[in-house]
Amino acid sequence: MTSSPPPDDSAEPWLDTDTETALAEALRAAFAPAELLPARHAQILAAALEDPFAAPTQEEVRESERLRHALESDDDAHAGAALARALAAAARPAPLSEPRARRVAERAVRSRTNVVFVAFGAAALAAAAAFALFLARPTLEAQGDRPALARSRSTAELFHERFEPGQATARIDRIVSLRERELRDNQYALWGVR
Amino acid sequence: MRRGACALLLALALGGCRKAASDPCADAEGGAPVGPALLAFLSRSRAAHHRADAFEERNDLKGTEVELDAVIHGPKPACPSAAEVREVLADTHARLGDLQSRHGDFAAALANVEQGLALVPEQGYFRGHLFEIRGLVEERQSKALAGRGDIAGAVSAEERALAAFQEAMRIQSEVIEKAAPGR
Repeated sequence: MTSSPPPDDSAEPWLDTDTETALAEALRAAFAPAELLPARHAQILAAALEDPFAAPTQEEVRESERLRHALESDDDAHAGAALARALAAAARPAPLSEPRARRVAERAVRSRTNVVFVAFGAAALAAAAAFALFLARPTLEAQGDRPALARSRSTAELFHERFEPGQATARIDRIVSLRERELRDNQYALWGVR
Repeated sequence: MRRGACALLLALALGGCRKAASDPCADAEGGAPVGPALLAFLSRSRAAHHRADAFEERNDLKGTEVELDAVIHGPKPACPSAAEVREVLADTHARLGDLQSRHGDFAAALANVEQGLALVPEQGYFRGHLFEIRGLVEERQSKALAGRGDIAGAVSAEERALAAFQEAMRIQSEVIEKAAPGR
């Protein structure tokens, strides 16, 4: 992702106190997020995804392609790309140039009730950035130690004897029994409790 | 959009955990992780086979067929080409073929065997078992034809039965060799 030039803050409106407080809270959360409990993380994932293992729909494939293009082309018209840049700015803010720092300070002195500069241009975007960082944190931490999940594969390993006609039910009993255990293990692994 | 903005956000934050272009069902190191949809299919199939057992014990051919057809024509998970899905479907076709041939419906039985074979092209237990069932179907057909005085038809069916049994033996020999090489 390429970094965008700093925004021209001279035309930015000042925030009211409530919005400013909410924005400051969101920025703090994005910059130094608190620990998210694995169980809470799993709840959020379960609420957001109908089936985490489902194949992507055509619409999702198209949308991911649009997002990729927007990220590569510096296009902020795409809400997802703008959010990604906001996230990067919140987590690793670029240093403030001296002239810009001076302008910000002058404006803050002129209006003492407004001390937080609108870095993202929209409080909602910052809040969304903070939310995304909260969600991402456990996964990013786990990247170096991603749990191994049991995967779909042939069931031939379960059968070391000749197939007898009339034993189809016994065979599927054995298949389901093993895969049930594997599903349970997968879920615990994803929850980080294995 | 099915999952809405939240899913987009997650996809972004998790660094694109899903590759749109890849097929998780066809991963060489194994398919998609074992998930609820696969288990739901397996569980539903298991229940259907148990119901089919109950009908079969009552000699209710129609009831048994309905239960097994429910496996074949019922809902499939997002990865219908997952190995377990194909193997369970193939085994269900084999059971249907065996059942139908025992009741004299040889055409339907052979059609089920063919559909099962198309699902499991790999040289494995399930494919070998389907050839074994094909042999049984042809053997029963041969006896039925002989009983009706169609000797030429009976001989022809008997030859097809022998060929199918031979293929079943060949495949299962390979499977045994692979499982315990050098023995």
